[in-house]
Amino acid sequence: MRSKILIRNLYKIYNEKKENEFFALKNINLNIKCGEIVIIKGISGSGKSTLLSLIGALSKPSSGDILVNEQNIAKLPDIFSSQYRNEEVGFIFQSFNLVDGLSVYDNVKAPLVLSNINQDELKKKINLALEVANIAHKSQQMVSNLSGGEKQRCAIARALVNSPSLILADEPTANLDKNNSLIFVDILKKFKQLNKTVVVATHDTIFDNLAFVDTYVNIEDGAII
Amino acid sequence: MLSNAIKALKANALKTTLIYFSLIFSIVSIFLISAISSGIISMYSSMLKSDGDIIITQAKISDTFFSNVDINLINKIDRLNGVKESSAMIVGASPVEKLPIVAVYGVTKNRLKNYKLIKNNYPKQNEALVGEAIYTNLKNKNSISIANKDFKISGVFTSDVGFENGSVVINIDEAGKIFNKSASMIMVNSDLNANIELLIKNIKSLDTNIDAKSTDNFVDNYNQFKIIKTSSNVISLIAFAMGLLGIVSIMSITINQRKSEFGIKRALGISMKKIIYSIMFESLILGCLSFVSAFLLSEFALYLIKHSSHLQGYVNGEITFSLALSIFLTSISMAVIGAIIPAFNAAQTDPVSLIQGNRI
Repeated sequence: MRSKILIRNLYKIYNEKKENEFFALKNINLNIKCGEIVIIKGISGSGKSTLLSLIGALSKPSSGDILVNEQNIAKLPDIFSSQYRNEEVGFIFQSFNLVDGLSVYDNVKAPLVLSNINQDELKKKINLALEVANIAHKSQQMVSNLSGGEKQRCAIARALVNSPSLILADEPTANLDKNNSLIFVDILKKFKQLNKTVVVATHDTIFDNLAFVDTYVNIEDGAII
Repeated sequence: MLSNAIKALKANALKTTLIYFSLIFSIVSIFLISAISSGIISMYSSMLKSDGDIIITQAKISDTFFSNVDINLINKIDRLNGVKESSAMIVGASPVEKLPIVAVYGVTKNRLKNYKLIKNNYPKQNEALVGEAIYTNLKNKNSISIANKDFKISGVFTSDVGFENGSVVINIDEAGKIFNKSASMIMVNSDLNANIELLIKNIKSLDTNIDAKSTDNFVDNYNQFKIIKTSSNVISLIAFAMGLLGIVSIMSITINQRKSEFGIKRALGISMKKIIYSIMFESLILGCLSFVSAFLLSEFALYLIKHSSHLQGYVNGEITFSLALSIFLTSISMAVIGAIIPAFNAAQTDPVSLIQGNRI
């Protein structure tokens, strides 16, 4: 199977060459294949979220390469990294990161504002994402009125709406109760069926020993162990 | 883009309202100060322009109020080639009843026809003709006292010029006794084909203590107008700066509170450029809305000012198309310039720290 993400000699150093220099990631090498589900495990502060933000081109590494679909995204200028995030990546964040003043529908629509698709196609895409995430019945509600689980499902719908090939989830169950966490695990299975490449950064034991997960990666002090 | 901007503005209703009001107050200030100053200039200009082709005042004097010209010059001027008619006027001011200051014009008899009568007759000795705005304010509608001298009201006139409509007109010899001068200025009407420059030269040669200018030249170089214009520009600039500061500060607070929203948008692949555009577009919408509101408010305020009996029509303002256009452009610049720095701050911050909620 061909590589979806290939990470080589990746470093992320904060306050480089200063007294308080900090190595968030040290010499990370990782190969994730297309359609794989990868769980990155580690305690808080181990560097797993930093790794996720680098794969998502949300921030830039200090050195090393990140090849996604054989294209190095490590040093992309803003316009191209934005395009990469918009077309290739779906994000699911720990605190959901929804825009409070907007409805579920408008939040899910947000990644599509740049696309040139017509209104009918736009509605179709949004409704499909809402159905997959099982939140269609709340589409007109303001996100500030949703429960934690509903917010998470709204965030999932938003991550899916652009039909990204790569989904990055950072501590997706940290703000969920056990039932909603299990629902998320089920959605993960759906992602697998949809042949999405998924990288989840978590310290939640609910993700331990899942049969459909392809790879578990353990991170400690910024290095893979 | 428009619907997204409106949703974003609605989602931050309080801050949007604060920016909206900040803009409105600044724009109304600019509107009123500009309209009133140009209104005053336009009123005085049209009053002077209706008086003739050449205006003669005392030489080397800064204002017509202090000018003293020998009225007997009229006889010499009338004999000059190209002169149709000349008249003289004393410009003074006096309290009348409860009104603290009322313009008093002492005029030669041939100028009285300039005042359009709406009631009774032109004034004779010991009589005064009063403007409509003053007349409606008077308790005693039979006589008025100017500098402790009583004048019987001979008639009432009306004028589109606020300075005239709120004034009292008496005969120039009586005004001369009150204000202790011969004439503030002499106005000359020339023949249709007269050479104005030559006429001015000839008038100046009659007396070294006088200065003669064509009416247009006089209006263009009138010191009071320059002072009014400069003051108006300075106050407008201050209002602009205040509005700008208001927008920058409120916009910075708003954007600081919306940092996670911009972080989310950045994470979703909206480019920095697009975020800057969206913030500036929101500000642009506010600029346009504020301009429309400020325009309506200013028109209403000017209507009230124009019809306030306390101001006797002296303070008058008009919003011309060119004034409205220049203030519209000012409003838009204020909104856009005010949003630039906060927009760049929002767009240049790392999306990770924006999502985590770091300060911009």
